[in-house]
Amino acid sequence: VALRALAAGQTVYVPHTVLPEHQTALEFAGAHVTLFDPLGDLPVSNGGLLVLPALDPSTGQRFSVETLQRLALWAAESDLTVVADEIDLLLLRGEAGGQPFAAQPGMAERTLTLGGFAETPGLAAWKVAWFAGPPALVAQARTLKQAMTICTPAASQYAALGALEEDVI
Amino acid sequence: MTVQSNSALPGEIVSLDELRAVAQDGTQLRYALMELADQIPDAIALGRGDPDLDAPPHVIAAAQAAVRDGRADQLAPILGLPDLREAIAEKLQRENGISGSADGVLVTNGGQEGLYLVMQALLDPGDEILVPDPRYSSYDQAIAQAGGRMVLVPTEPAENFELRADALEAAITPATKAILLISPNNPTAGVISPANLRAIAELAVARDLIVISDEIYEKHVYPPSQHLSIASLPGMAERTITLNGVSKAYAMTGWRVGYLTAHPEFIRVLAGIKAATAGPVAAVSQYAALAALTGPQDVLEEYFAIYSRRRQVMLDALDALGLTYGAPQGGYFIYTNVSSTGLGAFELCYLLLKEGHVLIFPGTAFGEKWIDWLRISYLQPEETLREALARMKTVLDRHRTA
Repeated sequence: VALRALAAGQTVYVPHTVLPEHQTALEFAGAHVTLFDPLGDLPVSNGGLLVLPALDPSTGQRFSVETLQRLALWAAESDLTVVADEIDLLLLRGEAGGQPFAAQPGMAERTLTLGGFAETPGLAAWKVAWFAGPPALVAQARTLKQAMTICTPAASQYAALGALEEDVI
Repeated sequence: MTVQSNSALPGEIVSLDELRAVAQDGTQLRYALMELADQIPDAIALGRGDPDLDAPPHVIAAAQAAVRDGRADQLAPILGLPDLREAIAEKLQRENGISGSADGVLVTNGGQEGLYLVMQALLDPGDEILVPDPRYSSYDQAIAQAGGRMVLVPTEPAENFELRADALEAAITPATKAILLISPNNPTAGVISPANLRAIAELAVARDLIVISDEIYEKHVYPPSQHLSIASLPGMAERTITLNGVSKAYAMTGWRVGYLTAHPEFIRVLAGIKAATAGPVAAVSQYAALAALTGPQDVLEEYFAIYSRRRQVMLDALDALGLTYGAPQGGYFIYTNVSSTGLGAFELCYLLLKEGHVLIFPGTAFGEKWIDWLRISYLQPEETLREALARMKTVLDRHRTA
């Protein structure tokens, strides 16, 4: 939902390769995808969308703290909106680099963070995910969410709330 | 979007102009009003079409059982649980006369996802779709995102907002691809008669048009009106997509289970889009829906009797207030004309919420020209409805200019 809403007609910067779970949404959005190496020269840009997965597709590991800092500086200088897909990030809590990208300086106001419960034991089938960020970005994505499904089942949301409150993750 | 301005204290309502500013379209207007109502503790909601009644006990029990034995934790297939698809296909055959197998059924995240997927799959940029006016504006974005163009087809209060075949025919152009039917209708409560529906079917065949038939309110039709599924008519099954769900019939809105039936090849296309967007419907919700469709059905009569009594309470009160309406034939809305008050619908809804703490949607949420109309739902207990009506009278007496 978030990608479809925010990527519409935009230049979208993706490190290394587009993840299969992002591919269709970007196609639907009519996005112009530019791949880049986060360790190499970063593209010159003046606006657009950075789609940042929780794990570096080239290594399967979390991006290093230095890389995340570098990307944050670039996003700010290039006036990029960021979609940080951190569905898997909760599994990395406590590990180096396990901080949300939105926690990088200056990123909270331009980052929509995606999370969910697909990796929470027993909760995948309850189909609950979330996005969080500055109100303007949330509103943009929420409008599309309303058009697509209106809302997530109430029973599923209470189950997810229970998981959070009991910290079963 | 947020409607809470800097000047508004918690619980304090924004100004009429602030509300206008955030309400850029019908859907946003409805959500803005609902957000405002959420700030008012004693607000009575006669806005959204969410049944206040409880889901049937056997539905709750089935969901609990699925949770206890772990079935609710198993990710459901993208098309839906096989047993549920089978039950839907049997229901459609038994109750609606729509032939087909489970291959032609897709389970969706509420009826909304069904209509969204259908529009994405069906419409190419520039395609026109005929939509009854006033319209259920939740369709707008789905049509727009597909690049489709909505062509509004008038329905008239004097005809209780029944969509007529000749009005549809007058709106057809070479770019017309599909007709959207919503019967019983949201927001007008109009019902298409069997005779008129047959004429629409003949038109669709003659002009080679696809029909999308939203039948989510099929269980709430007030005699002598009756419900007929257009896909059951000769030559229509292959050109009709029928949308439905358990939300309205079984008071299960929060479980988010809709379904649609169409040609199996089209179902596979929809499933491809669904897999890349919302994914499968929550398993626990599907087990609840399965129980609803296969369990005791006498609850439907109980619900209908309750809605029928409420409808009469509302109509009597609206008569007493001097307001007119298209006589509601189905669903649980009353599309009401307030021009006799001298107040515009938008302003009146604002006053009703601010001063009367009653949430009602203005007709402008369902079409720009409906400036003198309200959509009033009656999904509250009778006692609460009477309280809401008393508050409405107080506000109207205070502000009525005509």
